[in-house]
Amino acid sequence: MRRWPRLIVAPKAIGGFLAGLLLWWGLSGPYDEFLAGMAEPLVRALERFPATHLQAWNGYILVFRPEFLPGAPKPAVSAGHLTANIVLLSALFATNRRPVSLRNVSAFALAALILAGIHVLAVVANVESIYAWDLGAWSSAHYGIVERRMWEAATNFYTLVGAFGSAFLLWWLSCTLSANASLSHDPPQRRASAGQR
Amino acid sequence: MAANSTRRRRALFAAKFVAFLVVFYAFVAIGAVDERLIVPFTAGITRVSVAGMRIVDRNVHAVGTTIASDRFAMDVKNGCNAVETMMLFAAAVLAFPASARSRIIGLAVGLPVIQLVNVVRLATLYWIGSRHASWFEIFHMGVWQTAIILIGVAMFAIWSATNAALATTDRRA
Repeated sequence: MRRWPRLIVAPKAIGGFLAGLLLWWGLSGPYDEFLAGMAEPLVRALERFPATHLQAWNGYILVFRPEFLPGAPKPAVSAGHLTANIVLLSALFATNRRPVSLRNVSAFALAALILAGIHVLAVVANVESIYAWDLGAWSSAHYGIVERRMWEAATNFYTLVGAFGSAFLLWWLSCTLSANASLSHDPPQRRASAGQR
Repeated sequence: MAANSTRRRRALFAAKFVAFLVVFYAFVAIGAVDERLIVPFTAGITRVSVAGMRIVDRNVHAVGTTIASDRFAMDVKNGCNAVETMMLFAAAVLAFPASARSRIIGLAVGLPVIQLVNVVRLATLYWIGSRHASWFEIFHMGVWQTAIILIGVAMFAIWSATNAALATTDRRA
């Protein structure tokens, strides 16, 4: 029996998955506005002449600069792609023992807060990647090759493995700190002796 | 003492996991690797998916990494070829303390299962896109992407629990 994690985690994971999906989908509008608001000063801090304005719109974060021609299509970052890892985080935390306990909910809230910080940085990296690569001569004039490669790598790393890797890691580290995971890897006899003490 | 040891092992796992992710990413980020390995691999996954889909819809065909018919077309890009799930799973298996044999078995079983699930993902995404286009993005970004990672995590959990139990048995012996 102990060789396999308890199958009870499957319905809990599905419940957490659905809750996360509702959270991600239901709050996407205000959350995208929050991301745009938090990322804008960070992008501006990287500029010699701060001019970037970010605005959430219909699942995207639109990028505005005074140089862009009025009426021309605005570069945009797909916010949903950057933030979908909250669904994974919710599903993973739901598999913990007593998922609705204050301890687990607090740990989830803390992990979600850290994830929100990661989302803000992901928006910054994506905007910088647009500036570095997608604006033709303007990009070449304002970004050196090292900067271009760096922002491209940051964006691709997040897209490919960083988004879901960070959610998995936050859950794993939370389990490490609280020793609260239902998929515990502790040897059974050690847990028993710890309980006796 | 036992709790400290467990925490140390888990923290070590986390550090190794990140290191493997960085190495895997650095490998697939090489242009030649993407061109000669990832793109052909993605085209292969696309062909396998289309072969399955043609059982119910003869109009579907594969063009490179694109699944297309007269009503809908979908390009399978990085992020939809499940390579990222394979990397996450492989990083977790390699970071976890286990024998080389266990790791090989874990990877040999886990990686094909991930791709099998991905074939189902591509087929259902195509079906949703061609018939319920307004639902495509939510299933594409929110549902399937997370579901396939969860399946990877579940397989890792089962594999690692089996290995932890075996390691305990070995220590007792």
